[in-house]
Amino acid sequence: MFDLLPNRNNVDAVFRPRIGQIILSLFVIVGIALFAYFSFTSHSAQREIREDLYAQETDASALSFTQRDAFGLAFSMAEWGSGLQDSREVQIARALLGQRLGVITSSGEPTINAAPESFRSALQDLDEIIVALTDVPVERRLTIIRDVDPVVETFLTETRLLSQAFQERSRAVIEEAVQSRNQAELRLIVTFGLVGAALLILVTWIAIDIDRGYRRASEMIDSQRAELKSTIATLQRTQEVDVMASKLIQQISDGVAVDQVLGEVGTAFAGILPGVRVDVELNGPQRGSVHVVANSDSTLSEEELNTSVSRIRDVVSVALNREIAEQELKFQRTHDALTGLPNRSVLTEETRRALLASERTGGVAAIFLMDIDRFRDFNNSLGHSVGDILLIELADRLRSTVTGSEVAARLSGDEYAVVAHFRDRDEAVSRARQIFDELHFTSLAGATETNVSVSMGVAISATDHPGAAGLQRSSAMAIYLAKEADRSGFVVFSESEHSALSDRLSEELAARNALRNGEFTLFYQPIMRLENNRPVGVEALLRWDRPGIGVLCPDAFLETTRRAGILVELSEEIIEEALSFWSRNLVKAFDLGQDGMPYVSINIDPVQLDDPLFATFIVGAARRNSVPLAAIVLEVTEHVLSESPMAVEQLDALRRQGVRIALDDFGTGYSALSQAQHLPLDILKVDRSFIPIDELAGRDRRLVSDIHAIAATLGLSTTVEGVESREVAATLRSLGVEFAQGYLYSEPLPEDECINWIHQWTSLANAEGSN
Amino acid sequence: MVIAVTAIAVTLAGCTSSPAEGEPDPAAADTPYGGFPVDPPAPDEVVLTVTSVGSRDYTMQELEDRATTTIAITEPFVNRQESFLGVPLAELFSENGLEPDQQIATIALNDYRYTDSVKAFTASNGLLAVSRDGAPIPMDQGGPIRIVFPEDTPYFSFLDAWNWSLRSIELATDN
Repeated sequence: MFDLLPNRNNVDAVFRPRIGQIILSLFVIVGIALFAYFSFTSHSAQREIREDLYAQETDASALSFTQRDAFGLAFSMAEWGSGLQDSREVQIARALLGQRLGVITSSGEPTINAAPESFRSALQDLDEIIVALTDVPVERRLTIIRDVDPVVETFLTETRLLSQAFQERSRAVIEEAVQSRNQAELRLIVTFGLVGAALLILVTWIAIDIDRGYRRASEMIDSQRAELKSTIATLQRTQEVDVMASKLIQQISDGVAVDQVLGEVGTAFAGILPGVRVDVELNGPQRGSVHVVANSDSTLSEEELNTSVSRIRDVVSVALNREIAEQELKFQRTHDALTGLPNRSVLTEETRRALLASERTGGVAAIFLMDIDRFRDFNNSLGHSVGDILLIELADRLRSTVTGSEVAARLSGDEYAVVAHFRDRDEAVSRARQIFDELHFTSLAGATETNVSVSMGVAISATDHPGAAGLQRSSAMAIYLAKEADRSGFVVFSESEHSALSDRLSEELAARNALRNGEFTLFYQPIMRLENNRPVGVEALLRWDRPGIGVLCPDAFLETTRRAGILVELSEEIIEEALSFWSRNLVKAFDLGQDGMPYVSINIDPVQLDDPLFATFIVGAARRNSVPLAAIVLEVTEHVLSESPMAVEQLDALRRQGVRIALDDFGTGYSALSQAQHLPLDILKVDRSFIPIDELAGRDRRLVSDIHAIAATLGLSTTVEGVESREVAATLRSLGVEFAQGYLYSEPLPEDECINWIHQWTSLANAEGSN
Repeated sequence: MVIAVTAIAVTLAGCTSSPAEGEPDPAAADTPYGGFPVDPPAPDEVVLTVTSVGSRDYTMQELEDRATTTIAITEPFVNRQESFLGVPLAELFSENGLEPDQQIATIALNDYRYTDSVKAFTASNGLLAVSRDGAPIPMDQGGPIRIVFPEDTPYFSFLDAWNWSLRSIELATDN
């Protein structure tokens, strides 16, 4: 973004040639070329002139030589007069002068033409004398010489005057040469001057441009530096804002009070952002609104300000979200998710408050505990989703019914309660009855109208009442009594009236509470295929993890649950949970390719089979938990099959859909193998009482062998329970028994441990198999 | 003045014992050569004397007989194409024992004197011309013998070295 290194832009910024400079440069180049050309041509011209001068006689030199030869002629004349030369020598001297006068000079004319007319005339006069010369005696020659002396003198005078003519001719030639040279030099000087001026202008222009460009580039770099500095400062501030935002968000995450964090936001960010005031609304409907005001002297850009505001709002948003989350969590902790009513913890707290109020102001505290009559039937017939609608409808009705200090709560399932403080017992009873009546209504939750009613147990505090827990327990006893067949569904607990309730009732109540509190759980025991010693499924076994006592087997509480009337409900929960376990964990623990699909085997109570909707429930539960019906084995006893035609009919229906039926505890009841062929069975489970611990031999061995043989004849597979030794397992395997379970393999385990056991066992089995 | 000259001329003419055939005609002074015809030298007349360690005379006939070299040039003094026949100077220098580095003087009938090294003349292929365009060179046109140089030689444009009406060649003295 910022490039302080030289680049083309910066270079362009320093200097960029102008069109004028380019034109001027071209002019200079052309000028220099012309200057060179003129210099060359001038030099050539001078050289040609010089060579011409060398090659030709100039007028001046020609006249000079003429003057010399003319004087030579005059001298020969004088010598002739003295007798020292003969006439031929004079004539030869004249001939040589003639040769000289015939020379074509540089002016292109014979030398004679350069001489003045007077000289030519004098020469002509002299020629007449020379032509006539003869070699007469010396005495005579003197006379002749005297006679012609005027002619000779004239000739000599004219010859001397030739110098003047020579000078004039020379001056003219020189002037012409000088003029020519001056013209050439002037041309050169003008060219040089123009070129020099243009070059000077060009250099000055470029220098000025470079200077301006350099300043401009310097300003640009300074500007970029300043911008970079500002950007760095902005980035640092942005980073500080981010760090501060992270710090505040961390505080929020660490649980610092939201109000405290919001209170610090303004100060924290204002310290980072110069010239900016940050205010966060802490109260009122605008709580969390952020107001950021930049002073006039603030250097922050609008973009930086917006970014900072965004981060501040992020912090505030996180704080408010945590506040909302806290409120939601608190609500979830204290309220029922389905109906929105307060839950049991609120009821307990409100019970304490009502008791406190009754102690402080007099009056009584009362709990009205209620549940929906035949809700299980409603649920099973119309489905849980419709059941949920009914639960919500009742909650809404209850919410609209309670007034004043009354607090309604949903405790579990179809169990609701109202707690409040009343002036006296009568008012409490009256109010309870009123609510009880309100909760008898017609619901449209199902496809058809359904008459809804509730049972209600009312507990009212007395002076020596043992606190909230005691009052709740009393209300539970009261509703239990209200469910008795001869009751009207409304019971007000009376200490004097109900003090005689036996321990049996307390146990039944505990079982009911255990069901509501989720104290019942399932353990799983692996079932093995003897042929390959690998697990094929598990049997779900019920346990009560009773607080203060420990884990109890069904023998210890099954009768109690039956008496408490929760056995069917408990059995249904068992089926739902066992099927859920299958889809959640069991099927994933098996190697489907090697071991096939595992199954879960569930014990069914005869009471369940009395319900004509049992088969429907099983199919629905399998669908809800995504369990194939072929993965379900229902274990029933011989007693059921022998005495309940409806049971046989329902099991037969389920079997046709893929559910397998196992005859449990075979041999302990009215075992009649002859009847088994008429029953809907797939598996025969031989009771552990037939299986010795160490060795299966003798009569026991023959018995088991016969049972297995008959079972096989009937098309049933055999599972032997209570296998605790390898010897027994080996014997069973030799007899062809298909399946076995027992402590040899594993005791019943909680679901996590059971899954681990399956993993370990199959890993070992795979290792042994590969070895 | 004209009358006087004419009278003298008449007198002189009356004194001429044997006016030569082809007497010089003053009108010829209008010719490019400034004409003043003079009788050419007789064949046996010595026209050149070369002096080195000794001295040797050359008659016109002797030189004409030895003239075998012809050059055609634009004669620089009259700007006219002319052909000269003559004897190479190098030949004359050689036969007279003149060494290339020796300074010699060429001297004309009018005592015009030009001094230079032997090799300067030979380097420009100097020629002692005895005839021009197939005829003897008149005295008033640089004859009877003269030094000429072929074109494209250094001395072709150096007119001082073109000595007309040459009479002698001798070793140059220091003074």
